[in-house]
Amino acid sequence: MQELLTQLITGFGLPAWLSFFLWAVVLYGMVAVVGQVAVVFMVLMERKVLAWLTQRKGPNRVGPWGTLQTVADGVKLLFKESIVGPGQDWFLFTMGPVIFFAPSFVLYALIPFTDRLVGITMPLGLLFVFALSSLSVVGIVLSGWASNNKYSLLGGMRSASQAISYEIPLVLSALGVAVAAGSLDLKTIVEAQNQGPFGLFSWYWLSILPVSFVIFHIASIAEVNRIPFDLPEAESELVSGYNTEYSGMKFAMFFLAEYASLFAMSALVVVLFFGGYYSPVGGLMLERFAGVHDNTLLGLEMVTWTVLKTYFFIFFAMIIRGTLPRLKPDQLMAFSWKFLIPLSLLNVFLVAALKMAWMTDGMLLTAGPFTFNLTYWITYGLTGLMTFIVLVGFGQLFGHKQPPLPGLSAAGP
Amino acid sequence: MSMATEQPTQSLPQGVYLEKDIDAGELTVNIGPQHPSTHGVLRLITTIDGEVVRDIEPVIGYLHRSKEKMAESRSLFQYQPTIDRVEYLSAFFDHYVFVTSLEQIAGLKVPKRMQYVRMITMELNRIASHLLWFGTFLLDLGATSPMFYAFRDREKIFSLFEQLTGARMMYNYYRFGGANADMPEGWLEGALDFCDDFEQRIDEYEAIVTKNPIFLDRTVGVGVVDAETLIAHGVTGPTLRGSGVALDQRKDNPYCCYDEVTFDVPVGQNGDCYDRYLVRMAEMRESLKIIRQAVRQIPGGDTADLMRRRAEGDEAANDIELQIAGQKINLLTYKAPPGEVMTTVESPRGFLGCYLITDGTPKAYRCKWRGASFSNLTVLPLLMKGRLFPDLMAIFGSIDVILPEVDR
Amino acid sequence: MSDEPKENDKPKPSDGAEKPAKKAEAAAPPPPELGVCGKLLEGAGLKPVALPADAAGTETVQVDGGQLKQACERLRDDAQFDLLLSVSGVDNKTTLTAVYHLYSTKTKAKLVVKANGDKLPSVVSVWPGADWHEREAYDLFGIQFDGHPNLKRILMPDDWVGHPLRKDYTVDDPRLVWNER
Repeated sequence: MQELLTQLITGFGLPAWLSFFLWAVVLYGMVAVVGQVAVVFMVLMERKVLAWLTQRKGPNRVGPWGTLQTVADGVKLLFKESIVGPGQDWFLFTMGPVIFFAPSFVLYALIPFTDRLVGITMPLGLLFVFALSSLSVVGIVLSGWASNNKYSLLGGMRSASQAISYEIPLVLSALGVAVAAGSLDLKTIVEAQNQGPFGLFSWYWLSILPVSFVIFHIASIAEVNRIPFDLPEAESELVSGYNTEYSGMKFAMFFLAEYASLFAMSALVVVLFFGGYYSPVGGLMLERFAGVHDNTLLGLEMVTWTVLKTYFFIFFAMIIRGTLPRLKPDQLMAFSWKFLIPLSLLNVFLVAALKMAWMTDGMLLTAGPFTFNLTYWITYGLTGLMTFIVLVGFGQLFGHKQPPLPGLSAAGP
Repeated sequence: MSMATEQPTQSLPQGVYLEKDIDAGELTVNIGPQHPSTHGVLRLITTIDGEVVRDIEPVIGYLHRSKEKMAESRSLFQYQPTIDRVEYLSAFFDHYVFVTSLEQIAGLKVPKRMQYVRMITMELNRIASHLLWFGTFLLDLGATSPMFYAFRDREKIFSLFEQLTGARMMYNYYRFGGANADMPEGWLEGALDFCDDFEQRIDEYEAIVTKNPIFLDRTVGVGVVDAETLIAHGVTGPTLRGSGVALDQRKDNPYCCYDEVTFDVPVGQNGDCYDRYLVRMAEMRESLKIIRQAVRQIPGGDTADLMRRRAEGDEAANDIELQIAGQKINLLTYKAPPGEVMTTVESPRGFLGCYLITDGTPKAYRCKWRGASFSNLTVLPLLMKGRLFPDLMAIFGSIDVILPEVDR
Repeated sequence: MSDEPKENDKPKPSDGAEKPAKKAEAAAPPPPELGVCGKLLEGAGLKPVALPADAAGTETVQVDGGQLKQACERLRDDAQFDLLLSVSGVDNKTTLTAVYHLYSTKTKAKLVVKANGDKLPSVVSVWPGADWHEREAYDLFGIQFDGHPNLKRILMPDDWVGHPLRKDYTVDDPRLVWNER
């Protein structure tokens, strides 16, 4: 497509370098459209899932089964007045949502939906993902400060401290993936997971990096500010946190970007730990069972698997939201610094040691799919043992110790 | 896993909660009157240093509706419908203290059947009130779902009340010497059905909340206070019982027919938010016990039986103890004899009292409401000093303040 | 309608120390005697005046304003009245009265203490919980509590004029809209 655009540009007699910028615009536009559609669906899904969890019906008035509810909400937000109050820094107040919004959607361009459908292919993709996802916190801090509201300020400060605390376990756990796969390229990571013989069970979430997977998933929920880590906008404490003063489309941008980052983070979990676009039986089902080799059909299957797995994790995050209360800031920090970070450091060390012992072809465990190899069994056994020791040991050392339940003594009649 | 959460060891300088010379690093946050977790319109002038609360001063009066002045300007019977609003989450208790005050002054005798009806309705109302507390307390802690579950069961209680009184929240059911009307046929069975259903529900709630690690983190050891401090500040009800004092009017000075049913008074041990939670959950179970016994023991049984016996000419069914009102009085022109009394009842939040003075006219000479929340709220600054900002919501939620009762 | 006066004249229950209303009108009731707590106060060198018990039979004593604080301390320390239920102001048209309802969490006893006067000592140092109750009595009745740490309006707005629950209070504030008619 980029070539087509270049031909078009040069055909009009314009310089060829212009096509690069135009391509960026087109690409971002496409990503944004796809992202918006996904977000619109996710908002509806969240409301339906939460309604299901709390024995309600959820939206059921606008459109069939309430499917157009989000569209109606979006139109409403679009036409609402965007208020900038006195004492608010107009420029930063406007830039806040923009800085929060843009990186969340750029993340979509880095996710390999199939082996070909990737917006931007770059060898350092994983690093770029983290660079982008940590950028959005700047937007929160900015809007918290520019709002001239104490609740917003507190929300912004909480967001900053939370981002600093949870970026580290997030990156450290992903470092384990990079070590195991021998690459920072997201596509290579997906391919590396398909090398095991047991399909679903040889992906990283179980076979080599179960500890990383747990840490990454927890940290990713904290990264997208969802319950139980939604301190920056803790409703019962800070009214609405950093977006208290926002209305209209600026608020909608926060709203959209939150869901967009939830999608991106869930997709990242899928790419790093859940076999990306491969089917749970290993390889692709159409290719393996129906002998299809048509690229379009296989691509469709890949997209289906990626989206299905991503929505599974989104669904999981929604169930968590409907179940758990919120943490306190000190508990949040303590959980990250005292538990997640030492654990992920140890995990990186263990993965590196494992790799030193069984490295082949720059990847850990490469023997081609659907083959049997004694090395796997030894590796799996060792990983399982290590994981058990690590989790139990850390749980004993740093984990949450449940206080003894105080009983109730009853005064007799 | 807790940061700087030092426990207040000494009480504040009395009344002066806001120190005027504010440090450079401190921030004064004006929480309320409109805020998601102030449960009404309460204003808390909070001084925070980072996330640590240094000072807090409650400002009340935003919901003052002159209930005491209204009592002096209209007849007792005209005043009666308005007192549901004193504490609208448990309106039966308001009515009970008001009606009982007048009954004591005038020497009106309440039939036993009506006393049992009062007991059943008040216990149902206690469950409804505690359910709303359960939902909002967890909402304050950030869990959204329990609210909807609590409201679902509360609606069932309200449906029972609607059958009985015609209203879901503002009942105006009790009358001087009895009640508005006898129960509808089959109502007692409906109450029993609710008990059976709710017994399973409360197990579900406890299963999801009581041992949740995040919930434990938020409540255990938070807002610890000893019983002596609470009593000195006039705090009563589940908040006091959470600190280990089994002070319960239903046991100590049994009113209605509480001396004819058996129940326990649950008390906590540590006096933290978690114990207050446990006490309230246990109280709902005790209320179920009381309702079941009361339904079994109520004189006359179900209204359908009573009506049938009356139609068959059974003299015993016309006994005064089975009537709706023991003595018939004309409410519109009723002049209470001069007298005064303070009646207290064990409301879901503590001692709810009504100090009524009559002077022989149809109006009350003075009607003072002693709201449990009014006294309970005074202890909040003491509990909050030096705690973290999010603890404010846990502590404030756990002492269960309802603002209409504070401001009246 | 016709049986209404009869109902009014029905005698009160005989459980308390109450006299039936008819008799009270006919013959002057004997002056009430001091109860347990009254005697305790008398023993402490104070001069309590016994008042007729209220409709529920609760002992009622009247204490001189100047001795209120000592009386309250005695009652808290010696008679174990550790819970102050409420401080209610009452306007008797001639004097203002503060009514203290006490409760003992240990003996489950109740007591009513009354003190006349528009200037009374504060009992916040005896029961810290009296703080807001006294502020309310000041706000609605104008009773000045000496020694109260923070005596200001609590229910009414800070700029309110007058004390609304006094019997001579009239709502003729020109700022109020409902007076314009």
